[in-house]
This record gives sequence, structure tokens and C-alpha cells, in this order.
Amino acid sequence: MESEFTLPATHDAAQVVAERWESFVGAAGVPVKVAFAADHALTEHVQNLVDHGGANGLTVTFSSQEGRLHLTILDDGVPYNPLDAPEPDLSLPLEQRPIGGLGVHLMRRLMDSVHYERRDGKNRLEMVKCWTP
Amino acid sequence: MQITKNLHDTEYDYLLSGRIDGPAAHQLEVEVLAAIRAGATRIYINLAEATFLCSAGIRVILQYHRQLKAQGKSLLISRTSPEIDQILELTGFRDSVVEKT
Repeated sequence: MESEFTLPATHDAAQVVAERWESFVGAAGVPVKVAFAADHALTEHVQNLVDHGGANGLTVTFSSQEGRLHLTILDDGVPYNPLDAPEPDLSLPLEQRPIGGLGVHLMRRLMDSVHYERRDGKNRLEMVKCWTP
Repeated sequence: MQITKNLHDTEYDYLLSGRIDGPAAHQLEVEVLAAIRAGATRIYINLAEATFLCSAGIRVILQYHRQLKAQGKSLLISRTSPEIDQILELTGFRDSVVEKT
């Protein structure tokens, strides 16, 4: 099953994507744990784009088949590779640890793979998570 | 997200239900700042009924956890749901901000 939609990169974009995701999960039969992880990864990325990316619009694709979920987010903002952010050093004491970079860290940990590409003047982020059907 | 506040003297207890996304994180920050201004010495955040916790929500909790700790006060997570516990565990902050029982 696949669903693709385009939306403006306004302040409520993360909320709109989350609502679309909830409908898709129900229709596509994505397991609860996978849906929960993907919900977080989508929200973190879309919120980042809205906050920093300078994009006008986003195109989001959800695709689920045979135990494999594939999410793609395209945006027309300035080149922005979220994976350039350094991994936070979790061994540092709490007081010394930077508070930033947590969202991208969560995306990496919650999904099986996160891939970025700049193509045709757009940022393209692809995230995959698999499960045993 | 819904916030229910319980107040005993200078101890504030917030029960957060539902989705803690970006706007909800801002709402939580407004509440916490108001509690600090009102002289709160202990703030507890109960996440047992939260269904989602984004990094903006975690940042608010961490920021005021640190700030209050430096002043000899506290802000701690009193309870979590298993799902939210997993998110906190992945950030590496779980053991610092969840109250030890």
C-alpha cells in the first residue's frame, strides 16, 4: 500500500503529517511498534524542516509492503542533510551534554536506515523500517 | 495533549496525557516557567498517559531539570508509559530525569 501527498511547510505541517500517518497505519496494517517509531521519525524530520529548512512545500510518501515500511520526504528548502549532525555523546555527564541533535539521534535509532540525498534541487530523506509479517 | 496540574504547597505535579509534540512542548514550557515564577521547589512530570514524546518535549524537561537542580530544586519525571520509557532510554537521559522509586 502506498500514499503520497503534498503540503505547505507551515508551522502545523508536522501535525498534518502525523494525522495522515495515523490514517495510513490503520489502513495498511503497520504494527503498533513500527508505527510508533515511524511517527516519531516523521515528526522530528518535518518539524526540523519547518523550523530550519526554509522550504515552501513538502511531498511525503508512505509505502508499506511485506514487512517493509519506506518513508520518503522531499522538500524544496536550502540543502539540508540532517545526518551531518554529529551523534550526541551519551557518555558525557548530563550537565555537560548538549541538548541539541536529539531529534536526529532519535530518527537514527528508531528506524533501520535513514538516507539523505540532494537531487534535482530538492532534499530527499528516505527512512526504512522492517518487521517480520 | 492535556495537562492536569496538582499543587501541594511548592510541589507541582503535572499529568500529561496524549501527544507531546512541538506545540505541546511549548505549552509544557509555559506551565513550567509559571510554576518556577510562582516559587515551585519540586516539579514532577507524570508521563504515564503520554502516547508520544518528541525531542522538543525532552529538551524542555532537560533544560528545566538542569536549571532547577543548579538552584537546589528539582524537576523529575515521576512516571512513564513503556513506550515513552523507550524514547527516554534511546536519548540516554532516562536514568537522570526519571525519579528513582
